[in-house]
Amino acid sequence: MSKISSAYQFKSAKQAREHIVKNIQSNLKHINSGGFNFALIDDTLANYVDYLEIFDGIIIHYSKWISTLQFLKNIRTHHSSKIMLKPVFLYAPQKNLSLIEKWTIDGLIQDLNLLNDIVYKTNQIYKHFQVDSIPNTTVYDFNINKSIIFHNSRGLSEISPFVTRYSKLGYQFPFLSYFYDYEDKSTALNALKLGTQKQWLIPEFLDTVYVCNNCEDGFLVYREVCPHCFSSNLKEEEIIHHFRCAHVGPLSQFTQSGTLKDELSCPKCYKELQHVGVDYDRPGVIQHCNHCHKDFQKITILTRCSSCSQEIPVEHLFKKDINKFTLTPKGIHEAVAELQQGVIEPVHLSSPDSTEGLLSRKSLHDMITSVQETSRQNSFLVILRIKKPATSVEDVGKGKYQSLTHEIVKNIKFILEEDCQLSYKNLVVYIHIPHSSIESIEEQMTKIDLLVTTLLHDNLGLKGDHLVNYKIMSIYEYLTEWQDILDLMDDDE
Amino acid sequence: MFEFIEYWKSVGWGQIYRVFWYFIIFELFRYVVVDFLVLILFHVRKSLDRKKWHQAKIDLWKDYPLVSIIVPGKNEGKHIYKLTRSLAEQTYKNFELIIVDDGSDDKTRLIGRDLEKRGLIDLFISQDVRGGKASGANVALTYAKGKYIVHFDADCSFDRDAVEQCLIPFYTDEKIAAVGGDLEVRNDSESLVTTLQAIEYMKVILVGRMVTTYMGIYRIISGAFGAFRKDLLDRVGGWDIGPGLDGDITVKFRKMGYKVYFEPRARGKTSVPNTFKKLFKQRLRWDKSIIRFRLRKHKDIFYPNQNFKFINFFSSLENIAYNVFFNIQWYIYIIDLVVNFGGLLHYIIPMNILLYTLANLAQFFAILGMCKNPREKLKLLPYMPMMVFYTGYFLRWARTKAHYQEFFKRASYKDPWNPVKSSQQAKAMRI
Repeated sequence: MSKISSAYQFKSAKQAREHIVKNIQSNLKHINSGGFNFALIDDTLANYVDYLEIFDGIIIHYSKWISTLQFLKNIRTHHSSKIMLKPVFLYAPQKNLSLIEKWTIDGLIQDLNLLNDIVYKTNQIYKHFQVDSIPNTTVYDFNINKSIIFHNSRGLSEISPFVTRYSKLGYQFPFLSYFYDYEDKSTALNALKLGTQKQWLIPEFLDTVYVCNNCEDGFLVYREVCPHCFSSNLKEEEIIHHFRCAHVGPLSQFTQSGTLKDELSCPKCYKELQHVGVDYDRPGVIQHCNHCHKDFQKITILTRCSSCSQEIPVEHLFKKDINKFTLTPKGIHEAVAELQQGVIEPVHLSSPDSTEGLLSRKSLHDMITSVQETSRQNSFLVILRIKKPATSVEDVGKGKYQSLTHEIVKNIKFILEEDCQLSYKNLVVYIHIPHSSIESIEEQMTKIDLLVTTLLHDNLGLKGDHLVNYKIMSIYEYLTEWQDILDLMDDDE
Repeated sequence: MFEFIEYWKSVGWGQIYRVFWYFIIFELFRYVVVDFLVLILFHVRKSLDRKKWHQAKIDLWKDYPLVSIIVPGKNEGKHIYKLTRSLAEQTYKNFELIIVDDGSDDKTRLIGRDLEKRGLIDLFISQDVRGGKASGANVALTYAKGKYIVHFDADCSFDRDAVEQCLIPFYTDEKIAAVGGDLEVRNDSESLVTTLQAIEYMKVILVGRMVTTYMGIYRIISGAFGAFRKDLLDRVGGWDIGPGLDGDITVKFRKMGYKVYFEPRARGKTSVPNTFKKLFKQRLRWDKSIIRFRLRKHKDIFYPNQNFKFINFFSSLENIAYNVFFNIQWYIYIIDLVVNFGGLLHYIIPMNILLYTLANLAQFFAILGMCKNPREKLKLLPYMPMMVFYTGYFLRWARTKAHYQEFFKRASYKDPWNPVKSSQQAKAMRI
């Protein structure tokens, strides 16, 4: 069931959420063990991680690796630190899964009746750090902070990459790589570089990878080709030197003139070759191209990128060093401190299910600037203004007014893609939408318009069709005019 | 001095002949009189053949065949780039350059691969195990695609039209199997020995080969600069084990009934040994080959069988006679002088030197008349008196030692110039 349809079949988001909760509760089991309350949940329910906050630990019931991975990603990239850092275990009876710790799984369960290990690990994790001290945030470039915090929470002093085909580089970093899709794995390296520059991490050389110079994909097909026509239709042949008569020629010349299949016979003097090193030797190898019919010795190695199909000589590949990183005490301390400082103007809401993950305007601006510098994808900023209701705030009540605004923004967030970031003040919502197109944004804005109009109509009795105005700006435009826009934001207050 | 002149004035021609019979019969007649006559005839014929020559040049450019330039060598990396630059200047452009690295243990392989990558070499073949000059040339021959093969040494450089000039003779006579080019000494100013070799090369290569070509007895296409018809090279199976492989292959062509030709207009320069010790070693190797190849391997030239050809017989005979027999004869001559004219040596020796020097000068001025740049050659004039000692004593001693070592000890099979594995096989086959 899609997020959008779930929102629209109900009169309000609250009703929609209540439906979802009912749904999830039927697919979720509570397991109490050792004083901890675990949630056992199918890995197909990756979209419902929001509702697992109340549990002490999560046990994912493994069905398919891809589903489990998505579930793990949703947990580890969650804006709520209580979910992000939660102990996660994998229930996979009769499955022999390896490298689970690389995927930030804290343990493997074969039998749900034997949970002593799990309880012990959970205990250790909660003993090791104070979850409550870690603020919630979705700010883009705090990913390195979160990665350090996670590793520290598990008592790990190293961030060690591991080999995988799920990454363009061929390597992924536990936890950190969840924040980047396949295309952006080199951005993970940038985040680690940032951590190194801040002296939070000490790098140690692990490996070197060679990647495509066009798309930086590390999955390359290596081909031996002719240096003249680049065909791979090559034939290799040894050359033989017959000492007696100084004749040198390809092996085929010596086998043709022989009477028996294995016999080597010199085509010049017709003597049989008996003993390598005594009457003949094999001083080298010659390649023959069956396409252009040229002979040569040195083969050219060309790579073909399996992603963009570009053909690149090996000398032109980009070289990337892969390091492993050791956490420093400074890094552990400052990662938390910076995270705490980074989120200002926390949203104080009367609603019990207060929504974190909304940014201050400064943080939104900083994040946009950072995105533009590191990302090649199209990003847009949408300034969305909700029409001020005719009814005054005093009439509605400040609490309800705020609650309603908050509800609207939450629902807007529900409609948008997961990687969108929002900030809002009063009735103006600022939305950063990365990796999108104008057409897609227009479509989303139409749905938002309908949603907001419905909510305002249902809750405040407002009439009219289009109660939302919006302006879409490219990030370039925004960064050119950001000062004016910030001034406008202030005016809006 | 006065006494010296008076003495020789007083003796008769009979006595002069009696004392200097060796010079008069073997040196003066062959290397001055015959050479002069033949040179005159050579140039007369050249003038008469001008039209034929011109037509041959047109035919060459019409045909414009692919030429394979092959350069085998070991540790020649430092020369290869200069060679490619020299070849890039050639008027004849339709060639492929094949360089063979015969087991080099320096940076030759790296240099060759780099030049191949840059397109300055068409095919660079590196043999991990050294096989010798002949095998290096043969591997290049195997992969050569040209109609003609031009064999160069890596340390040579060439006039801009050298390749073109050495191809033209093929279009004057279809019986010509191979053409040798003229080689001059590049480092003639480096030391006394290089200067003397510069004079020697002018006499032996430029003049000597013009004469032998005219007489039809030309017998060595230099490995440093030679052009061959590829079809005929394939027929004879390429080169055989050296040393002397350049003379050996020339003999093989002649035995097949083909001609070999010397083209003085195809010019190249080469570096020669710059010390007497190095030169002596080189000449020991060269001179052993006359025993090994002409007297041993190709002795059948002298047999009166169905393959007998008088011209080949005469060519080998002349070569062996002047290099072996008359060499021995010279020692007999010296003994004769010492025994019979011991008291007059103080007159004989200076006169000997004078006669040889005059003969050399006569030759030298004849050569100047044929040179492209005669003024440049004039700097060699002061060294002419030393040529008596150089050719008469130094080279003669090298030749004598070489013949002795090869004849009685088969020393060429131990020569490190060839890999041991090849020499062992050659020795076992008695070739």
